[in-house]
Amino acid sequence: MHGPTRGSPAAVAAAVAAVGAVITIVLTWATVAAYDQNEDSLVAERVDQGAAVLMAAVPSIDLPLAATARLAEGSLGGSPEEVLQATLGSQVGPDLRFQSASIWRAGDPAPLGELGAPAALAGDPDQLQAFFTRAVADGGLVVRFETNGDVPRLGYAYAGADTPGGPLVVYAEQELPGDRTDVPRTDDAFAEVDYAIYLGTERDPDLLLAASAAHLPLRGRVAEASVPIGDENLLLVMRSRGDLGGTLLPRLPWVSALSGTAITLGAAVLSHRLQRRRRAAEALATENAHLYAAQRQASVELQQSLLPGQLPTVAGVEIVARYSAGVAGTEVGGDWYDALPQGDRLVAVVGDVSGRGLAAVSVMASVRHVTRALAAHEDEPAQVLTKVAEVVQGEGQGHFVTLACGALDIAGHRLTVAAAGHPPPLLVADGEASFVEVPVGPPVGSALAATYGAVTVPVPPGATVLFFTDGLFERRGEPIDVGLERLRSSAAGRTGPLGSVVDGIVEDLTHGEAADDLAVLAIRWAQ
Amino acid sequence: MTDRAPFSVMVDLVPRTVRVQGEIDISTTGELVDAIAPLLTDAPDEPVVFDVSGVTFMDSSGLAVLLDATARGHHVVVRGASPLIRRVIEATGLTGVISVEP
Repeated sequence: MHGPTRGSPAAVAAAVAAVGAVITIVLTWATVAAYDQNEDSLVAERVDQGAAVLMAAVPSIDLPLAATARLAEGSLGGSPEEVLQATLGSQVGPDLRFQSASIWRAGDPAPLGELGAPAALAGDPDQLQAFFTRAVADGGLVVRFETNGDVPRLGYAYAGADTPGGPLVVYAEQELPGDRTDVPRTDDAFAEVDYAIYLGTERDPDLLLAASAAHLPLRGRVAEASVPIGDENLLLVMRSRGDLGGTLLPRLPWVSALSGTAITLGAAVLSHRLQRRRRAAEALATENAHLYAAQRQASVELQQSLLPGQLPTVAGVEIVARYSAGVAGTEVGGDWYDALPQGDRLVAVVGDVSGRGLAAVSVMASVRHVTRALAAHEDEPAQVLTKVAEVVQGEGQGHFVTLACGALDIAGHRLTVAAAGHPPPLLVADGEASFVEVPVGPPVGSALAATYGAVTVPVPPGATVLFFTDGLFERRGEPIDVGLERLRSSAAGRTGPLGSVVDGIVEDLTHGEAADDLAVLAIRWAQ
Repeated sequence: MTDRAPFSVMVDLVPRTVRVQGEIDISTTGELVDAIAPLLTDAPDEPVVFDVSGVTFMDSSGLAVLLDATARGHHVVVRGASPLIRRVIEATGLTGVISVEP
């Protein structure tokens, strides 16, 4: 017995210690790497979601300007000034989307019409004309960081086609917050990240548009995404404020290090360690479920930010709307509804985009904004849809949009409806329910050109008209008509407050588990 | 979900024919789009026939694929459609755009 030999307790202990140390180091390293990778991918995911929100907002700037330019140069009637008022009148004011909007003939020293405050850029006629020349050359939306005037602004211009006398240019300005850092967050879905948005593709402090943090540039675990806006870009930079993956993952390296040490202390501790690992795995699964729910919540908030915040109050009718995100998947769908008062009439729109995800939602946002702009200008639903189809033709990026548009003559008790690939509204009167027989034209957003027809039906006092998307009645593998008939018979004979009637129908048809998104817009005439 | 028919797509270049089996929805349209890409690249005046006699379900994302083919100038013919699929095409206002043949 001279010194340790093969199999001696000391050698075994040394081997166990060595193996334990190696395992501990590898495990600790692996969990640190897993934590880093998880946090990096979560920040990247958040920045993509933020980019989605920005991208969905771009059409709300682009399309009203484009629609104004196209309508003003057409022969639809109305001077450029009247068209400007009709399409942008509701969006210009101190607390609205734009603070100034105007329409110009490129090269002219004075506008043809203006809304809100005078354009700050008009203070420098050379720069103004240079910007308009850029718009005419680009043929689409152009964007400029505007430093003329008391506060910085973003200037947008959209040039129409070349007409005799020169192209028309629609110009709008949007004031930036006085202090562009520490802009309060309005969206809880992004509460745990800091962000900064720049115009352009660089983190240039002079071109900062808004940021949630006072100290810029953002440092640490950051990710960025670029969103095109006209001929420019928005650069979105995000940083996580804490541990996006929850509190377990950052502790996991310590868990591994401690449990690794435990191996070296003996087999008794091993079973203990395994048990801890199992609990950790279970806790991770729970955390993943929370993360999935949080992601889905962000998608739902994005979708809902595109729906009207409040329905209008209109004398003579009651309006109720419901939107429900389907239970399938985390990707956001593209159902929407709109109720737009227009003089003594009400325009109702319900629509749906094929497919899901970011591209689908941005197509939906485009069609929705174009429809709003055109509905403010056109009287007849068939004309509205024909114009919408023309403006968004070929813009669908592989998606198409179905929509139904109804004009309700409230005092005249009449309803005129046109539909683009969309199911007709249901009219419920005197306990009977029937679908309005609308000539359905093709969906919009594909490369198809189409004209639409409409039908006008009388509406008795107390009657309800129900616009909806297919998520309400469609079931996989079942003929459409079976679903439509189920909807019809569910709606017939229901009485009581409109809100509970609509809730009753939705519950009856989906049992609270709609697979697809659904939107319902119900309008009831007073008795 | 349980008895889901397996999805398959076969493509003939002459005449341009796409034979689809199974269910066409958002989870299978990616495969369909990739498979038919060679048919849509040139000669847009040639019709493209979609034989859907083996298709048990098609939703709006499937219609978007058909519409995309018409967008590229092809005349789209849908052959062997079940009453269920015919009705989807009709309800979406596409009877004037896509030819439905027995």
